[in-house]
Amino acid sequence: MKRIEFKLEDVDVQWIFSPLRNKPDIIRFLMRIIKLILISKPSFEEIQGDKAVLVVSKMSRIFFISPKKHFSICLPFKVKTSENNEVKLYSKCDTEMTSMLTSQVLSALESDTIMTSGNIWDFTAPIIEIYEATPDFWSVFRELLIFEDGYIRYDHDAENEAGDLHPLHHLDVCYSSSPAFKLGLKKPLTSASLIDALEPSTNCSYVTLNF
Amino acid sequence: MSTSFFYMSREKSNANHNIVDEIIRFTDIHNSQAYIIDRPLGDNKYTYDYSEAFVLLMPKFKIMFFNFSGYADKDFEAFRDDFLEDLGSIADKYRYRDIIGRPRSWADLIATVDIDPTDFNLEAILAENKIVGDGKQKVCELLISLLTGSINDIDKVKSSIPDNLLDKVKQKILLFDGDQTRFVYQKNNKKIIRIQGLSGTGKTELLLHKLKELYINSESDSIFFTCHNKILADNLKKRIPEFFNFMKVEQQIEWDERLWCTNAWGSGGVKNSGAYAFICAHYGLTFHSFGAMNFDHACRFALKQLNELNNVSPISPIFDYMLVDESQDFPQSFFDLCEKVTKETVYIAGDIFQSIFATEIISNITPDFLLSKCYRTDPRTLMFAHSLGMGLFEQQKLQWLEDDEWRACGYLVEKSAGDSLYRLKREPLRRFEDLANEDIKSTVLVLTNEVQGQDTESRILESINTIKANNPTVLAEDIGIIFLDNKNSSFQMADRLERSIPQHFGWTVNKAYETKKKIKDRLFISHRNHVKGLEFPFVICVASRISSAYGIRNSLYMMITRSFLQTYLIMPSEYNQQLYDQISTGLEIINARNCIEVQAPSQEEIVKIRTTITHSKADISFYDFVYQIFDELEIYPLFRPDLYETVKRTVGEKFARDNVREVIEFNYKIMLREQAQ
Repeated sequence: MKRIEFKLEDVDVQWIFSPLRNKPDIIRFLMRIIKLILISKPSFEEIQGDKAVLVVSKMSRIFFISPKKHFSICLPFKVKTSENNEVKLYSKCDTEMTSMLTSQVLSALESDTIMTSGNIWDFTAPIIEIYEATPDFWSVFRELLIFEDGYIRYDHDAENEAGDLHPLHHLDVCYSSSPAFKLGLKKPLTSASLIDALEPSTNCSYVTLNF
Repeated sequence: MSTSFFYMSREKSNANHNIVDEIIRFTDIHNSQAYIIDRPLGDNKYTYDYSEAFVLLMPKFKIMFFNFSGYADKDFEAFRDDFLEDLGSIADKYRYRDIIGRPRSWADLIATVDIDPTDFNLEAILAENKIVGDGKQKVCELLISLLTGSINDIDKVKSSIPDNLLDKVKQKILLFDGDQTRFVYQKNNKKIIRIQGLSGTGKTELLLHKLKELYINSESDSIFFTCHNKILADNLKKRIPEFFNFMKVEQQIEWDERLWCTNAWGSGGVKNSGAYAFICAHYGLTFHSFGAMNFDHACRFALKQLNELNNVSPISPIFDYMLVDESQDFPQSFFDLCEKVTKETVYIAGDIFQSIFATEIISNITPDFLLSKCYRTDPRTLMFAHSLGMGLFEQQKLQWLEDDEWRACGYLVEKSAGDSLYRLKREPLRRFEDLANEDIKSTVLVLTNEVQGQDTESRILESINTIKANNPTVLAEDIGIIFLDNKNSSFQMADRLERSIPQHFGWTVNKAYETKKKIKDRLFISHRNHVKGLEFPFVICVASRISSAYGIRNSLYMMITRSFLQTYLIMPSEYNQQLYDQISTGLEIINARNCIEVQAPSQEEIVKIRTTITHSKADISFYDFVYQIFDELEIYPLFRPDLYETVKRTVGEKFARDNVREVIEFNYKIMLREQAQ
């Protein structure tokens, strides 16, 4: 298991810990995270304060750690580090994820009608336009549309605490309203515990059901 | 003579032609704007019976009612009172009253001039009616804008007079020039009207004004507004209702019934998705989809099928008018198709300079309206952008225009040293008149040097810092950073700036190649492909190696001219030291002498690089048109006034040379015969 950390500045924390509501939000978020990884100095030592932690093992995940919230999503990319410690990400089809490609994905999603129009042309036209300039775009975009994001968030939320309906400490699994559910926690969950719980190569964590 | 300084809404007549000619001469000598109107433009409901007067509008002068009747006349008084009452109600309609006050508060800005058309002194009349004081001048300019239909956003104009250059330019009252006013209001009977101009000459804005004029002039006319690019068409479609609201158009927009605004192609089976798709669906033509063939072929097939249908039974047009923007993106066959399906007129607007750098050489362009004045950009910035774009300061020039073409692009050409040294100047613009008093460099060249720690990011941040220091009221949205290269390194630099600009200045950025829009309160970042139609007070252009490729130079020209106050051009010394030395000398001359000084290329070089743009000569009034024919036919002056009236009655004010000539010859013979008896 490889672990790479990135320091988060105030300007990053603002958008990283904003709510995600749907799949396009997740893809946008992921693209911005890739950009952050590509321009940030990676650390192979533990960083104090707000940070992103990239955990590379059988399945790569990225964690975002702040005092009251930690959350994680899958990173559907291969992670490679070069000799000078630069982190590079590749899609399943071996396309390098670059600042340019991530911007192209963002621009496709930004099109007013791509996800809403009843006309197939409104979906295909922006994609074809980018595809003509960057043929690798489509395979990456398709992967992003179908990847399972595995969203999970630890919340310490005193403001909205409401007994067993909204426990002070809880895990939110999934982000969109229909499939989302909470798992209450009796005590705070450290970021290390969350990372360990989601790591497939270590022992499982157990959920104790109270019924 | 420049046609852009003068506009007249009525015809010259025997009574007024002396004073009109004198006013034209004045505007030409003093590079000042003048409009002669007989009613407020922009709304046909304002008409008056009285014809022995006109109103002269000139910025910095009172609104002058010229009375030609030669005596104090009740009808004239009534005309003036009605006109001013209507002006008051227009001011109300556009919410100008809060800024300019009620009519009685600007009554001192109105003057009456009783004039003897054979004996007058224009200079003295103007001296008497000069307005002193910025505040009064501003009110008068606002009144002129209302009367010429060049409506300014009153929330931007504000009532106070700003104390700094940035706000002065931002709040400058914009007025149409003569050419622009003619395009919007002049009636014509031509099937195709072409309007061409550099970027920043206001083509799209004028098309919107024309659209508004056409839309409100009839309640049944159908109009199709189109351009090639879908994003641009979507933007236009959003702009139209905003523009109509702004212009207080009372009619509802009947989308897809009276008015369409889409890109040109569209998709098969969806009639309203494109101009071509609509035409195919309406006439039952075979639709060829995007990707199946190029647009030229698709249009040719459609035309062929239409002609076949027409041979069976004549087809009727489906639109009354079509408006086509960005015509340089289209093949001629599309215009032919538009003409075929349009009853009245197809208005076609395009950018000549985009054509100049295109790979295909266009030998002849004959616009009906040639807009040579770029109002977006400080003329010095435009001169530098042309110089760099065309490689004028370099050993191997990339482009050279003929004298007429320089003029078509808005240059005044002076030559010396046996015609080999050119001095190319541009006329000053009202919008930038305040800059003349300030020591501000229109373009700043900045070299980066990684080895010395002056990397691109730090140079960009430094430039923003300088802009902020020199312009305390600058906002995030006033600055645009544009990358020349569409490469990953530019995207990555933009990602870095997205993080460092908020940290340094507290401003958030808008990477427009992702968001595809301009966002208020955000600093704009984009690259060369996404800057069309945009303008900022300050632009920071970021280049790597500036090669001689036409595409690169044309993009640089486009990028540099996005600013209306100042452009920073940042480039690495590693690749551009030689170019920097050449262009910085040329730039110094532009800043110091307001002109491009350039050695003309040899005849041999010119042959290599020449592209011809011809344009039809400037429009002339019907009066001048008829009088030119009188000159050709050597008509005695005695007969000319009566003959002129006869021509107008018989032919109407149509520029039909053969008809007019025939009517003159026929009637002249009769007049001579009668005279002899």
